Amino acid sequence: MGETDRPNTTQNLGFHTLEGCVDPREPESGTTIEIRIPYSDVQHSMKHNPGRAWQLTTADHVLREPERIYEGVRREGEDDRDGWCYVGRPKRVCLGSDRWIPLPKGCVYVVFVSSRFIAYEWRIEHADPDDPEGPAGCESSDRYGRLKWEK
Amino acid sequence: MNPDLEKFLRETEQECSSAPSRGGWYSKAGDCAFFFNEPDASYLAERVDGRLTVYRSLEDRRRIVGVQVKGIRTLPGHDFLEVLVRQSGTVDLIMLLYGTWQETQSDASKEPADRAAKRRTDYEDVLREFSGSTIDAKEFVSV
Repeated sequence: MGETDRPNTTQNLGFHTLEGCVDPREPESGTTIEIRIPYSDVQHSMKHNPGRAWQLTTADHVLREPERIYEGVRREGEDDRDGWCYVGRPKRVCLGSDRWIPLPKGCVYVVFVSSRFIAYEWRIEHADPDDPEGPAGCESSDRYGRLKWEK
Repeated sequence: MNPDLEKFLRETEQECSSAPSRGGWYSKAGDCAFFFNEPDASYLAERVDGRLTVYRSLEDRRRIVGVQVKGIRTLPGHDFLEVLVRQSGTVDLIMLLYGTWQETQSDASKEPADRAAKRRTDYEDVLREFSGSTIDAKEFVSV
């Protein structure tokens, strides 16, 4: 069962835990791990774009059943790359408790996870025109270290 | 739908009693800032460069409804930014974008001309749409 560690301070240090996520270190093994979602990020999303918060249900699906995992998300200004990007093509995207839309044509769904197994961004992106199973620019070294795994 | 996650989202939604409004926040986990101009918009993300991603409305893809600015801790002039934040109590989104533009410009000469032009247009659009947008400094003080 997923658990929510709600914060009791103004620092918002709590997390919600998603279980059954594919282990990005060894995706081929079938091992699953817990990935955490910062409670404060969800709370802010609810205040400023609730659709983003509800998209977590789509992100949860992609973390459990990714089609690809990229390793080494590039951060500008840093030489090191870390974390992973899970990619999927779910049929629909959740935007509210009873609001769903089909995944737009020519798009993929991506979830970014840090090296500490915290998901910090989840979103619809254009698919790459040359590689429709990956997000735009996925083959560029500007974006990812390497394709770690694909289904 | 994952029932635990749905319950968590419903509870969080109930806790946020006020109507959704434009605004932004800093994500410590991602070391990035988010800002949404349109709280009800559904959107898709377009990565402009290693620092900036724009969120375009799914209804009208010309319209930018939100932004993500990445790598706040390593932004050029971060120390100066910190001083400003402590003094003013807010973080001006334009200040963050100034930092990202400065840095990514150093790589611009390596870019194909059409890509550089697109990036410039995206930055201009974001500056126009998000002029005057600020994030509460409390979000940033632990950065």
